[in-house]
Formats: sequence, C-alpha cells, structure tokens
Amino acid sequence: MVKKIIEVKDVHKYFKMGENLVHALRGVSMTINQGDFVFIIGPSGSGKSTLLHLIGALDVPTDGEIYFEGKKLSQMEEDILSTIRRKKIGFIFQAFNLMTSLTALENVTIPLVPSGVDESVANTRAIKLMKMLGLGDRINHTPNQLSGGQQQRVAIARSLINDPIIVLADEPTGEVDSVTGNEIFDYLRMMNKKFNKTFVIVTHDTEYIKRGDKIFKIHDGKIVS
Amino acid sequence: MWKIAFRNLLSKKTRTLLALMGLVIAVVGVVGLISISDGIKNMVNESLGKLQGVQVLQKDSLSPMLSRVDMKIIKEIESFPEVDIVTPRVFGIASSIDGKAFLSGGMSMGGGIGEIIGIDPVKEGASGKTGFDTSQITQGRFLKSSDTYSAVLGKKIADGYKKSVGSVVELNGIRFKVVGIWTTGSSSTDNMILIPIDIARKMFSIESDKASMLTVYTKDPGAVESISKKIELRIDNVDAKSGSEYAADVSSVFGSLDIFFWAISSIAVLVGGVGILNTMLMSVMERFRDFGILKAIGWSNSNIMTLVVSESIILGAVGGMAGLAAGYTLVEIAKPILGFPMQVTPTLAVIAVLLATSLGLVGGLYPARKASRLNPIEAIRYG
Repeated sequence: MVKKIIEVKDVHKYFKMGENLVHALRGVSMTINQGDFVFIIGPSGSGKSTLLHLIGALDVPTDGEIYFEGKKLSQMEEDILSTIRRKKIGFIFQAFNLMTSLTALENVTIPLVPSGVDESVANTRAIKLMKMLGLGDRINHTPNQLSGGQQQRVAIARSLINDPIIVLADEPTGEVDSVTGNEIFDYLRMMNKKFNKTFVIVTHDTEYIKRGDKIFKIHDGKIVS
Repeated sequence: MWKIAFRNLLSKKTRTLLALMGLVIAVVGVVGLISISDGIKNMVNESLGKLQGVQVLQKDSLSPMLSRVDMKIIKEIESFPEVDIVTPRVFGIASSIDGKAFLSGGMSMGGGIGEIIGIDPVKEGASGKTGFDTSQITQGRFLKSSDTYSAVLGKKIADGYKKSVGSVVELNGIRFKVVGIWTTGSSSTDNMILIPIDIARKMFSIESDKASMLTVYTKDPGAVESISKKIELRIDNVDAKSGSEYAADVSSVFGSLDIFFWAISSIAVLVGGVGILNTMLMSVMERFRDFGILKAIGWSNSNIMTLVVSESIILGAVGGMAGLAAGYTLVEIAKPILGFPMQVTPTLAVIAVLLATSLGLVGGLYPARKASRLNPIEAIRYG
C-alpha cells in the first residue's frame, strides 16, 4: 500500500500586503505519496511557493488543513514545527543559500548541529552523500570556490543529510543554465530513486517536468490540472 | 555550535577586529585605572604597616617635611609610664645627589623620591625596638653616635648611583661617606638615606632644639592607641597618630578615589558594551538570510539565539583577555617611566575578563533575539 506523506485539504492562505489582503491560495487540495517525484508549476505569483512553504511547515494555512504523515500541522507549536523541519524535511532553495563562512562539508552537516549528532558520524554521512553527488573533491571548498551547479549539489546534500521523509525544492534551477539545470534534476531523480525519497519541486520552467510522476499546475491560487 | 560561531567571526575579520579593539581599549582603561588605585593602596598599606609606635608631628602639618616639633617635649613624653623611648627625626628631600637633580636620576632608577632622614643613631639603633631594623643592613653597618658626615643608603639609591660601602656621595651639595646599605624590599624605604640628625638639621636649616617628627615607642605595643590620645591631650600644638590611625585616614581617602576610578571605568565598559551591541546587530542584520535558512532547515529559535550569543561571548572573552594582556603590558611599561605604584592584582585580572565576557553576553542578547524571531520565509526572500 502506498503511504500518504502529505495531504492538503481545501487550503486557503491570505497575506496582508500593505493595505491589501491577498488571497494567495484559494482552496487547494492535493495528496503526495512516499517516493513521489512531484512538480508544482505555474507562473510567478500563482501561489506555488506559498504552497511549498505550507507543506514545509514554514507557515500555517489561514483555512483548510495540511496533514503531515497524518498529523495536522496547523495545531502545532513553532518548536514542534522546527523539530519536524529538522527531522523530516529537507529544503533546497533557488539561490543555493549556503553559509559562506563554512566549508561545503560544514554546510552539509549544519542541519545536524542542533541534534547534537557526533561530528565524525555527521561527516561520514555527509562525505558519502557528497561523493554520490560528484562533490568528492570539493569537500573542504568554501561556497565561493564552487560553481553554481556545485553549490546547488551541496544544497542537495544538505537537504538529505537528516534522512528526511520529503525534500522540498523551490526553483532549484532558477540560477543556473539549462545544462546545469538538467544535471541537477538528474541528481534529484537519482536520489529519489535510490532512497525512495519524496521530492516536491516548484518551478516555472516546463523544460524539466517530463521527469515528474505527478505535475500540479497552479494558477491564481488554484490547482488547474 | 562554538565552531560555527568562531567561523562566522573569522569570516568578517575587519569587523571582528574593530569590535575587539573597542573592547580591548575599554578593558585596558579599567585595568590601568584600577591598577593605579590598587598599587597606591598596596604601597600605603605596606608602608603604614611597617610604621611602629606613635608619630608626633606639628599640629595640622601636611607632611613630616613641613612639621617642626620642640625637642623639649621628648622628656615630657618619656615621663609617661607606658612610654619606652622617644626618637626625634628630621625629614628632608635629596634634591640633588652627586650634583645631579634627583628626579631625572630617579626616573631611570625606577621612581620614587629620595628622602633624607636625620636620626639619633643611639636611640634608633641601640634600642632594637625602633622602626629601623638594623638587620636590614645588607652591607656595612648602621649609623653610630660618633658618625658625622656618614650616610646609610637605601638599596635603590645605592644601585642607581653605583655606591657601595666606602664610596663618597654628595647629598644636596654636602659630601658623605657611605657606611652602610640597607635593603627593605619596599620601594619607598629603599629610596631613603639615613644621616645623623645634627647634620640633617644643618642641611635643612632646622634649629638645634627642633625635629620634624617624634616617634614614641611604648613598652606594650598594644598601648599605641591610648598613648596617642594621651599625647594630644597633654601636649599642645601636636598631632599624634599610630600607623593604624594613618591607615584608616588614608583608606577613607582612597575609598572615594576608588569610586571615582570605578565610575570612569564603567563609562569605558559601557562604551565597550555598546560597541559589541552595534557589531552584533550589524552582523545579525547582514545575515538575515542565513538565519532564515537555518530556521527553514530546522534550527529552533533557541538554537539561533545560542549561536549569536556564542559569537558575542567569544568576542567578549577574547577582547577581555587581549585587553588584560595589553593592559598588563602597558602597566609594566608605564610603571618605571611614571614611577607610579601600579599593580594588576589577580582579582583585577579575573574581574576584567569576566566583565568583558559578560559584556559580550549582554551585548549579544538583543541581536540574538532579533535573529531568532525572524520569519524564515521573509528572511530568505528579502534577507
């Protein structure tokens, strides 16, 4: 039987933008199962990033409910949400967002610091992941010694270091050329297949979406297909 | 966590150094000021602690050098049953030694004022009870009654002017033969020169029936307090004080000086604290995006708080230790040049480092709170 990881049920999200109330999500429902490689696509401002943030326990819906492994996220305290993010979710961002003062290896292990994981254990795990991602010779480089594609691969390793249930990626190829973009998606798909990890990827670039198991098209805060 | 904090500080070297400098200056200020105050207190206590008996001076005279007391009252005081012996002394300054102004020589010699004390060798040396401990004569001998132009030099003077027993020394234009050198280990008494009292009277133009000061030794050392009151009551125009009474006077003066020093120091500390606050606030604001990311990948508010406070505690502790080292070095350099008693006590050292560390802690709290309360989505988007 397929395990449901995420269930989004009739979710609405309002934002205050100065004087105006923006209705960013207007009744979104979706289900994501274990091992899915899911794309959420749509034009900018359609609400796709907002949806990703809600799934990633970074924000709570104004109305409706999100179930994470069957548990309601809206009823959880911030501390519990950060624990869920730390233990069950991996994030990949558009602008890589690595910490420039740390080496690639330290960037990969940084999610484990609050859990107090032994440094040598963390490093072994990180180096294994980095080798899989073709970063074996870049372990002690700092982010500004790495190309965009390499930085994003470091970010992918970081998103997987805590052995999450689901990895969320917000425009992961937004700042690289299409060759590098394809390479990054190859790596994401590889990790998805190898570890049976669930991936949810937001993009506006339709070039890559043929690789997806499921594609949600979102427009004006609603899923249109 | 500490490792990441260190890395973050090292990644902005200039800013970290500037913040440290502000702190170092503050700590140097504290160490410098308090070392002066501690040094003076220590010197005063050391000298007053050695003071025996009761000092009798002209009423309201500011120093023994400006005081004149009548030799006649010696007999009067010695008639008190509890009194053992009364010694007269004449005090003056060695304004020139071997024709050179003492102060310039003094600078290179490690400071202090060369004090000439005219004594009665028989009364001072013979009794074995007086302030001059003849066992501290490390070369030669103490003065004796037949001496005229003979002098006992303190160790510092002897070293500074390269004198030994048998040398001739010219004090304020008069030639003396060095008969002894004494070493007390105290910077003030090692700058003293002892000569016979009659010669001292001539040197400082003091009438033959006068002395600068009398020292009254009691048969029972515990009787000094009561005898000082008795002398003031019975004899006109004199002040009589024991060492402990002096110490009480002096420490009340230094109590207020201490408050003054600490007040100036706290301003320095405050400035250092504001510096840390400013640095940490800037550094946190520059890294909003980093903190947003850390929150997104599961760091809790308190994890972020801990990271920022760790950074500022490191700043504080390193600044405190560097400031202590710089302050200590400066004090050691300044001490001989200024000829001023300065002392970095262990207590002061611990206080300085703890103070700077807690400044780091306090200065980091507000920026840390700001960082921990960030909304991760906004911090990542706009950071």
